[in-house]
Amino acid sequence: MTQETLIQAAIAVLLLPLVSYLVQLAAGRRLPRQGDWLATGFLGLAFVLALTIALYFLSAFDQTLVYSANFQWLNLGKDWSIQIGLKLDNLSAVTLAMVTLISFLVHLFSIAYLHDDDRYATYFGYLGLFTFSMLGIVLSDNLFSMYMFWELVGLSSYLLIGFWFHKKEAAAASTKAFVTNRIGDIGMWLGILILWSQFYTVNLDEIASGIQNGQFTLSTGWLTLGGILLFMGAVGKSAQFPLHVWLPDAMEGPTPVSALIHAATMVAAGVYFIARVFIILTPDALTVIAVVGAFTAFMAATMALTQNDIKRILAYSTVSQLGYMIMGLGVGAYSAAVFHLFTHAFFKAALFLGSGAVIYAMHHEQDIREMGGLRKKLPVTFVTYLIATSALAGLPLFSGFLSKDAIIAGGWGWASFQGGGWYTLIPSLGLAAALLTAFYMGRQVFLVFFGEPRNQDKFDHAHEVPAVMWIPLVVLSVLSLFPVFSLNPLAGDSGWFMNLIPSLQSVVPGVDGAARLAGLAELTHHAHWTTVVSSILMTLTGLAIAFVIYMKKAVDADKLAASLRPLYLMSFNKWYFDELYEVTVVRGNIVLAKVSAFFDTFVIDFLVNVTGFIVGFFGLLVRKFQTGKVQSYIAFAVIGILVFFVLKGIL
Amino acid sequence: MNLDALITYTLTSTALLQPELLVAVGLMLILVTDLFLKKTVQKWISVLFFLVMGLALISLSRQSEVQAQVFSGMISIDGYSVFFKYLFVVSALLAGVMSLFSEELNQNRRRLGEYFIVMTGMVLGMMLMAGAANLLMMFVAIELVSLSSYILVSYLKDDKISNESGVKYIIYGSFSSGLMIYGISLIYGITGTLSLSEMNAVLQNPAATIDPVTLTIAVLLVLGGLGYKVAAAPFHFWAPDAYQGAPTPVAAFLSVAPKAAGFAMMLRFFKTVFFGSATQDGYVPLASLDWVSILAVISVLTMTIGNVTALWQQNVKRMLAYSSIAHAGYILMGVLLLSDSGIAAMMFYLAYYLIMNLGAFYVTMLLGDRVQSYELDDWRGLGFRAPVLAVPMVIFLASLIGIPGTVGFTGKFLLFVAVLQQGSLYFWLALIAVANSVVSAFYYFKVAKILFLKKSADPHAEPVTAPVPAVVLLFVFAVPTIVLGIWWSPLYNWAMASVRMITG
Amino acid sequence: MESLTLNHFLTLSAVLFSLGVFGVMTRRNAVVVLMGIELMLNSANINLIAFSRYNGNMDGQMLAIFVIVLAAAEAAVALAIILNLYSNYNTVNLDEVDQLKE
Repeated sequence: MTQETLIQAAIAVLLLPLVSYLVQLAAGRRLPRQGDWLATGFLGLAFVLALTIALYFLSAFDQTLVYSANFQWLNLGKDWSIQIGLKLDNLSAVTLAMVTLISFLVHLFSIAYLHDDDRYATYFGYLGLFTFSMLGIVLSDNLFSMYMFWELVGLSSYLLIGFWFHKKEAAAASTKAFVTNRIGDIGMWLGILILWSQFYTVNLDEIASGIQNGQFTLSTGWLTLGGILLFMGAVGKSAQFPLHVWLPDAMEGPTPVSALIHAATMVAAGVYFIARVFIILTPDALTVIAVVGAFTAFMAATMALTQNDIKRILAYSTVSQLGYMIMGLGVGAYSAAVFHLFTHAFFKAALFLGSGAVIYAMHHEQDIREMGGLRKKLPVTFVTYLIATSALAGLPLFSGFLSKDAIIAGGWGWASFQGGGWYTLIPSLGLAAALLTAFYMGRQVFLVFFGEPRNQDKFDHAHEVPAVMWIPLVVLSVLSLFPVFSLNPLAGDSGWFMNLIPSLQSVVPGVDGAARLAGLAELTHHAHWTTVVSSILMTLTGLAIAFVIYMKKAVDADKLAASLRPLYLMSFNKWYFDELYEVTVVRGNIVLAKVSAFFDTFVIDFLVNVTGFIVGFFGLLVRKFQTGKVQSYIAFAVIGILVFFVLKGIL
Repeated sequence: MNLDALITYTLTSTALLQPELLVAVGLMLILVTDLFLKKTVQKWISVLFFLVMGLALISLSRQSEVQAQVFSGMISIDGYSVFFKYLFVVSALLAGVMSLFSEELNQNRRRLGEYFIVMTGMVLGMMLMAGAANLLMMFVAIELVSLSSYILVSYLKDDKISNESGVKYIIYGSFSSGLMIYGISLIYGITGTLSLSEMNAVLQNPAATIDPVTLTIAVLLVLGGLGYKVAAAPFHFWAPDAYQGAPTPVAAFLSVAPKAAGFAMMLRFFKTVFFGSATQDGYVPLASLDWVSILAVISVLTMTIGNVTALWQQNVKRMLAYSSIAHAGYILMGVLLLSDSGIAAMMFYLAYYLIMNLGAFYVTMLLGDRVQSYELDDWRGLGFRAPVLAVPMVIFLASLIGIPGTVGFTGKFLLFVAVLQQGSLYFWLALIAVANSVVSAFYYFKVAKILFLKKSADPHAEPVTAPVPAVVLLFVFAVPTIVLGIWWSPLYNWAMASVRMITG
Repeated sequence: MESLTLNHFLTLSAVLFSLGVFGVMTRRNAVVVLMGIELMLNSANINLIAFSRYNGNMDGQMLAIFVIVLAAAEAAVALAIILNLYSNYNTVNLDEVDQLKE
């Protein structure tokens, strides 16, 4: 395949979901079955193309292989031109395949899940729009179009989360998601502007080489600030602390949407973005990122412990796992973080879709306290869910173990590189979160699939889900097994993924990128076996505790919760973040809005109305000149010419 | 020169004038065919018309690399005139197709033969206007166009309104041509020549004694005539009445093609006669006549009067007439700039203005024919009854305002950039233009509001449809309006490449 | 009597032009307005011919001939339209033809 064909194929992959959206929007309702198979077909085709591109890159297996194409979108003169284009390298190629695959599987799953919905056609349209936006972020080679697609992703997620907008909670959740994202986006835009002010370009490669050549004329502090501001966008999009509050509420959306958006793609966009700008982040910025990531990983894991809604557990789990990825990037374990992005996409999507299957089978019951013993009724779902859970929990022989292990090892490597001390807190938080993850996932599995059914009526009516629903589950769970990524079940760095997408060297001036990279790799390698042992230990401990409490019933869960009541409440009420934000940010904003509204109505509107009145008055005045009599027209022409004579000094 | 050389010269000149000759021959062909064609097969005249226009397009495409002056300096064939000729032929084609769908023109077994004859004549006249490099040619061409348009405007002989607008138009137009010829005669007298380039040589010659007062008077009179053609204030008063009374396809055509021709001629006149040498950034005007300030005043007056009066209009055609006047004001800004980018911006503006204005008039025609009225009150809620027609109308209105995403924004933007690049003195001009664009948003969107946000008086009114070919033509206008708004470089690059004008 | 100079012709044509403009602006009858326009065009003709003689080339006379033809054409079309006006409005008084206004 030539470069041209590849680029064209990439553009086709980008545009196919958009076509699906437009078709569904314009004619969806009139198509047979409201266009569901058509939309799925578009995505299937996109996936095939994306897979071909990815296989090409895999067969070439060249770490430096890059294809790009761009065109000038806006030219305002010598300095101010904006080039937009796409960049196909290993990272974007495999991400392209991942996103299209998951989108395709979600389309398939939705055919059964939403078949009674009266906005069925629009739903598939929105899925297409979302996929298009996400692929735009993946393929962009410049910050500007990435930002455009970023916003578009925010919009599509608003439409999808609030799909059942007649429900008050859904409408509120979509608004919350959008607003929280916007707050992050402000930071991102400021970061882009800082970079623009120095380089007058938005192209990532140009910015990177500019920084490498020392053209960033402000102090390193500004570069750090820029990096942190850019990171804020990722904080919003990937639901990191303190902007994590929207993701649990976003579970109001249909479950396939949660699988697509909140497992695999949109939230991954933040991580992808940081991966893209990784090389221009200063060590200080990276430290901030690592801290935020590790803290989020731990915090969210604690919140997941006590949730009763099957999807909320997974939501907090997502926040926590994203924290891992962010932490991975922060500690310089770039390759590991991206790897975890991938493995997480597959097993989390499998988990969400699996929970969707459970919800579907239980006739839209979502509370795990009403479930139990479902393994007998939903065998396929059970097996796939088990596989995916094992991957999430980090059991060896599953993909999740490889990636999570690599991150934590990277964390220890980084901690020693930075000189120990409080830096070791970061990987420690990671390990603690691993333990909690194993616990809450074990809890979920035991409560849902094992034991006796707690709601006999619902249990009797439950049955295995149709093929269009379990096929995606099977596909995704197979992709969560270790051989997909590496033939060594205990180490991911011999696998193809981490060798295709290696960690990148920083180009920040004042940092010896190569030395840092080599040093981190060395120390990570040292930490590898300790990490393997400790993480397996954590996982097994967590699972054991869950087993003891929920299977053996040796310890009563409720009594335990009662005795640890303050901690329990802290976890159950999500560390009271929503309440905190309500009192400070939300109320404060409302006051500000009221003041602005007053100003707007009485000052600005007044001025606008006055201007309009004056202009209209002139209109009425000038109208009088158009008398309808041709001779007055002639007279005015002559008068006009005479006036010009006067102005020219002739008369 | 001897006879042989004269004949050879005439023949080569004629060969270069292929498009005009094709149109002229086509004119006669249509004339003769109309005589012999029975009434029942009248429709075929239009086919002949399209054929002639198509052939003209083809022969124009073969003229892209020609730069010459023919017939001893009467007509210049250069990139500039070819660009405009394309505009005229394309707009004639589109207006011709529009006329086929117009009910006013096709009812009462009305003969359309003369309609197309006169339109062909008008195209010929406009092509000559674009290329005219001699005052004689200018006058003859402008008269040809004017006479044709008087006839077209009064085409509906039994309609009182059409008649009235025709009378006012011809009286005003004849008066303006009287002014213009008087001015031409004075210019001839002062400079001793009718050829534009020779005039420039005379004006640049320090030895020649030119009385600046007489020159100013003469040029102002000529400007009166040219300003009438493009409907610039204070010579615009005929336009609202003429557009309102004319059959809508004629109004559409008038608002686009002769205006473009007038601008082409105006720019060529001023640039060839009154420019000194070309420098890096632009051209240096001769000190003898500061026409830039006059044009600036006219431009400001035109756009303001056009926009401000349009606010109160209740008749859609009249509103579109005032809107044309306002747009002429914006385009005049391009004329007074002494730079290539200004000229290119003006040419680009006229090209896409063609599409969006024809489109707006076209929808007006379709809707007006079906509702039997052009008053806004009768159009309430029409948007939902005729969505296929009304949605493109909103697109055209948005483009006329200059909303980003449509080509109207791009054109205005490029024009303003060209204005601002000329220096801080022009800042006020751009500011006024922007303020005017804002004012225009009101009356353009008033139409959209009436179409979609008001309930129609009769709640059980049936949906309004148009035949499929009519809708196809509508999309021919609507699609480029949006596509060019995003991807304007082909058209703009063509305009930039066509700025070459022969001056020597 | 002194010989006729260019100025005499120019003055004459200026006077005629002004009379023509006056006629166009003030007369009620459409046909008389047309006469005024003819006057304007012909005053330009006088100008052209006088200048042609003064400048020594034939361009002016050439243009004058064209102007005569065009004036005739214009008059023809204008009269046709005014005739139509009469059949529609039953008057050629321009003041009464003002339905389209403002």
